[in-house]
Amino acid sequence: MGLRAKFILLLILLNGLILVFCLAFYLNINRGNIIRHEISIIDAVKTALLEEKIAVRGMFIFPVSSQVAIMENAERNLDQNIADLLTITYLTNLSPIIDNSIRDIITERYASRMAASELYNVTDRIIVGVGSTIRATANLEMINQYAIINNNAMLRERTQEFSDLLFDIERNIENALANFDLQYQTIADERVTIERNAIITFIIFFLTITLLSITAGWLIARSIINVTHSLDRASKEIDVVFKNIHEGIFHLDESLKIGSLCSKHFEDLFRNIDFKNIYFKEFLRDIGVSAKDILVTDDYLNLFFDDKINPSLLSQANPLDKVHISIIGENKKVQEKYLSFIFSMFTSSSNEKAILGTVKDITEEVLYAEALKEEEEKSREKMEHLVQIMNIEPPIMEEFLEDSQDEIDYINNLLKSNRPDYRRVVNEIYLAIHSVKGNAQLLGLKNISNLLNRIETNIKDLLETREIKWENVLESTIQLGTTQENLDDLKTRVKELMTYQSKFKNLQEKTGLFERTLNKILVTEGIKEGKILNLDCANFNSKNVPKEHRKIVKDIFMQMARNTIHHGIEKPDEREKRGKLPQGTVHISLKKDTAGNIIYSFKDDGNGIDAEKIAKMAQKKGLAKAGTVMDLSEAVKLIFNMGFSTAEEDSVLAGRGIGLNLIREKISSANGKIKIRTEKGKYCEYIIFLPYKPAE
Amino acid sequence: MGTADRTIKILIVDDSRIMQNILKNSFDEKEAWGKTEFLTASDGEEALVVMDENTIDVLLLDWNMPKLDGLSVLKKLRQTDKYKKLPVIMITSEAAKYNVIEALKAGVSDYIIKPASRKILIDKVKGFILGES
Amino acid sequence: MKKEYIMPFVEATQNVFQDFFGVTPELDTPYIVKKEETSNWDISGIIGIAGESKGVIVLSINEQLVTALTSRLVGRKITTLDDDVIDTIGEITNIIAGNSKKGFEEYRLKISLPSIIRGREHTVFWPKQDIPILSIPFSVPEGKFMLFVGLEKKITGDILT
Repeated sequence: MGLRAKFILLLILLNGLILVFCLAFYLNINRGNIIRHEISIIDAVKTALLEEKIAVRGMFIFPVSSQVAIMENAERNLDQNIADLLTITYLTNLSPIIDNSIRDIITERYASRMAASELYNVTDRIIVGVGSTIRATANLEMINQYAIINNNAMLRERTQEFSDLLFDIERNIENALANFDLQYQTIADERVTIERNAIITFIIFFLTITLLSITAGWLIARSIINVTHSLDRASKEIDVVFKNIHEGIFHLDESLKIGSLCSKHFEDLFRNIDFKNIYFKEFLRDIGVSAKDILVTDDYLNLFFDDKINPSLLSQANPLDKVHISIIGENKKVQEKYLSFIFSMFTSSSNEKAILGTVKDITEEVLYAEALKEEEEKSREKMEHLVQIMNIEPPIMEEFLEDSQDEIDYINNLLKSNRPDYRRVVNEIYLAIHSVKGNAQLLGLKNISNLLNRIETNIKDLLETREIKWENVLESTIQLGTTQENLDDLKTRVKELMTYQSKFKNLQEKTGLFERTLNKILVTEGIKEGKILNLDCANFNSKNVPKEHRKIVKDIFMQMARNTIHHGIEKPDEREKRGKLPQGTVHISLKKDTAGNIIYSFKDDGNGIDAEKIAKMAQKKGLAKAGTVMDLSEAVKLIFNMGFSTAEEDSVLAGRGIGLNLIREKISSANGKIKIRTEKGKYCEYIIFLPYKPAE
Repeated sequence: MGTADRTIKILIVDDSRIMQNILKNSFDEKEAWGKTEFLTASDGEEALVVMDENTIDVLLLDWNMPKLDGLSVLKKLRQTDKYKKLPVIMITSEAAKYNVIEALKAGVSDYIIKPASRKILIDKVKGFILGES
Repeated sequence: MKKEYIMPFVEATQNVFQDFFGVTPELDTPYIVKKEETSNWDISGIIGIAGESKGVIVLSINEQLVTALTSRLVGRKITTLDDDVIDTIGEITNIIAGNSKKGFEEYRLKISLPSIIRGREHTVFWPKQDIPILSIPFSVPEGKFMLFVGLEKKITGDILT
C-alpha cells in the first residue's frame, strides 16, 4: 500500500476515534447537563422549601398561610358567639333567613367595626379591630400563650393542631429536604463520578490519540526518512554520475526548452553560455550553429513528439550528429569545436514526454580523422609520384634531372652575379621554371609539374607589378630554392628506386635457391655426421630445370643427398686412408640429350655400392639364396627394392631402401629412367632421364 | 496468412529504367511472402495513375523525378484516406539529413539511402508485407 | 620558407648595422647555396628558429670586415678577432634576433638565444641533409657579409612548399 494510502487510512481511523470519544463525551456532558438541571431544580426546590420552612417556622407574613392562621386566630379570639355565628353562618350558608338574621346581628354588633359583606376579606381588619393583642405577625407560640392565659381550650386545641400540622409539614419539608439533600448528594456524587469518568475517558482518549499520533508520526517519519535517504542516495548517485559522466546530458520538454537538470559535463562544455530554460534553437544560435542546421534540427526534434513516426527512422536523420560550433572560450578567444548530439525520447512517470539529449565533444576525433585523411592523401600522392617516376625510362629521367639542375644553376649564377636589373633576373627565373615545368609535364611527372605551375604563377604575378624590388627577388629566390629542394628529392627517389631494381636483378643472376639449399643441407647435416661435404653445381642451374621437373628433381636430389650424407661419403680420416681429400664433394649437373630428355646427374665421390655387402645382407634377409654371387646390376636392383637397406642401424635420416624405391617410382611415373654408375670405394653416380617436351 | 494466396503488388517509381530493373531484380520470389508482381512508373503522375488502377501493397518511391517528385507523391497519397496507411519506402540518393526529416514529416513509412543493400531492402519490404497481413 | 619569415631579419640587420656602424648595408640579390658553401667565414652568429618552420638563420662575417667595422665603432684600430669584436658580433646577433621576434608574433615561430661560432671552416648544424640554403649578401664599403637562411619546410603531401 502506498505511503499516501496508509496515511489517509490512519487519518480516518483517528478521526473516527475522535468522533467516538466526542460522542461519549457529549453524552457524558449531556447527562451532566441533565444532572445539573436536576440539581438546579433540586436547588430551586430546596430554596423554595427553605423559604417555606422559614415561612412556616418564622413570621406570619402576609401570605395566605398567615391569613389562614390569622383567620383561625380570629376565630379563636372572637367572641364565641361570633365564632359560633360564624360557624353557623358557615354551616348554614344555605339558609337565607338565618343568614340574614345572623348578618343583622353581626352588623348590629360590629357595625362600627367592619363591613358586613366581606368577612373573609377583612380578616386583617377584624384582627386589628378585635383586639390589639393579636398582631398580624403573631406566631403560633404567642397564640398558644394567649390561649393559655385566656384559658381558651378550643384555641389551645386549635393551636396545638396547627402546631402539629405545622410540625408535620416542617418535618415533611425537612425530610423532603433531607431527601433532596440525599438526592442532591447522590446526584452530586453521580455527577462527580460522571465527571471523573469523563475526565478519565478524556485522559485515556487523549493518551491514546497521542500514542497513536506518535506511532503514526514515527512510522510516517521513518518512511519519509527512508524515502528521503533513498532519494538522497539516488540523488547522490545521480550526482556522481552526472558529475563524472564524460558526456553532456540535458533534456528538452515538449516546447523544446532546455531543462535545468543537466550533467556537469554539459555545464562545463558550455560554461559561458546561459542555457537553462531557453529554447534549444536559441541555444544553438548562441553556440554558432548555422541557421540552416538550426531549422532542420527544430523540425527533427518536433518529429519526436509525433506518435506516428517510428523512432528508429529518426536516429538516421539526426542533423546534429556532427556539427561545427564556435564559442568564446576561457581566454576570451573563439574556440572552434565539433560536437555530436544524440537525442532520444523518454516518457516521465507523470506521462509527460521529453527528449533526452547527450552531447559529446568530438573535436579531437574529427581533427584526427582529418589529419588521417591528410596522411592518406599524402601517402597516396607519394605512391602516385612513385608510379610517375617508375614509368619513365631511366636515361630519360637522368636527362631530365640534369637539364633541370642546369637551369637552376644558371639562374643561381645569375643571382650570384648581383645584377642590378631585378626585372631581368626575375624574368630569367620565370623562364627557367617554365622550362623545367614543361619537361616535367611531358614526362608525366604530375606532382612536380603542378608545384612548378604554382611557382610559375607566383612569379608571373611578381612580374606584373610595376616595380620589382629586392623583396620580390628574394621571393623568387625562395621559389628557386623550393624548386631545387624538390629536384633533390626527386633525385633521391630515383636513386632509391634504381637501387631496388638493381638488387632485384642481381638476385636473379646469382645462384638459385635450390642449389643453395642443397648445399646448406650437405654441409650442415654432414657436419652432424662428422663428415665434411660440399656441393659442386658448376654444371647445374636451377633456372634450366623446366617447371614440370622441378618437384621431382628437388625431391630426388634431396633424398640422394641424405643417402650420401649417411652412406655415401666417408668420414674424413677414412677418406684420407683411401687417398681422397678429406671433404667429400657432391656434383650435380644437368644437360639435354638428343632424344628429348633432360639428364640430371647426382654424383658423390664416396663409398660407392658394395655388391658383396648387399649379397650378404640379402642372404641374411632371406631374399637370396646362400652363396649367391651377385653382380653389380643385380645388387642395384635389390637396393631399389622396398625395405632393403644395408644400413647397420636404421637411421631416420637415411631410410635408404624405402627412399630409393620411392625415387624409382617417382621417376617411372614421370616416364623417366634411372641409371647408376658406381665403383666401390670410389664414387656413386645416379643418372636420371626425364622426358621433356618444350612448350610449342 | 492471406499473403500465401494472393499476389503481392509492389510499385517501383523511379525515372531511371536501370534503377527500376535493379530494384526488381533485388527481389527473389522465394522470399517469404510468396508471389509478387512488380509494377513500374517513371514519374510521379504515372505513379498515381498506376495506383488508381491497381491495389498496391508496397510503394518504392524515388525522390527526384520529372513532372511530380517523390515527396509530392507521398504528400498527395497521405491526403487520401485510402492511402493513409500504405507502406511507402523512399529509396533515394539524397543522403542529406534534411531530406529524411522532410520525408518523415510527410509521413513516409521507411527510408533507404542508395546504394541500398539488397538485404536491407528485402527485410524492410518483408516487414511491411508480413506486418500488415 | 616564406619571405615574411626572412624580411624581419633582413630589416633588423640593416637597422643594427646602421645603429652600430653608421652604415646601412646594401642588399645584393639572394641566391641558393649548398651547406658546404657556408663555411667560408670567420665568425657566425646563429639564431635558431622553431615552430611552424624549423631551422637556423646565420649571420656570417669575415675577420677583415668585422675588425674594420669595430675599429670604426670603438675609435681605435683593431686588427685581430679579440673579445671586443666577438662581443660586438654577439651583441649584433642578439639585437637582430630581438628585433625580429616582434615580426614573428603572428607566425607561430620561436626564436632561440643566439650563439656565436668562430674559426674558419666552422660548420653550422643545418637542418636536414641537403636543403638548399638561402644566401643573402649584404655589402658595405669595407666588404661583404652574409645572412644564411636554412629553414625546413612544411611538407604537404609529397611536395615541399
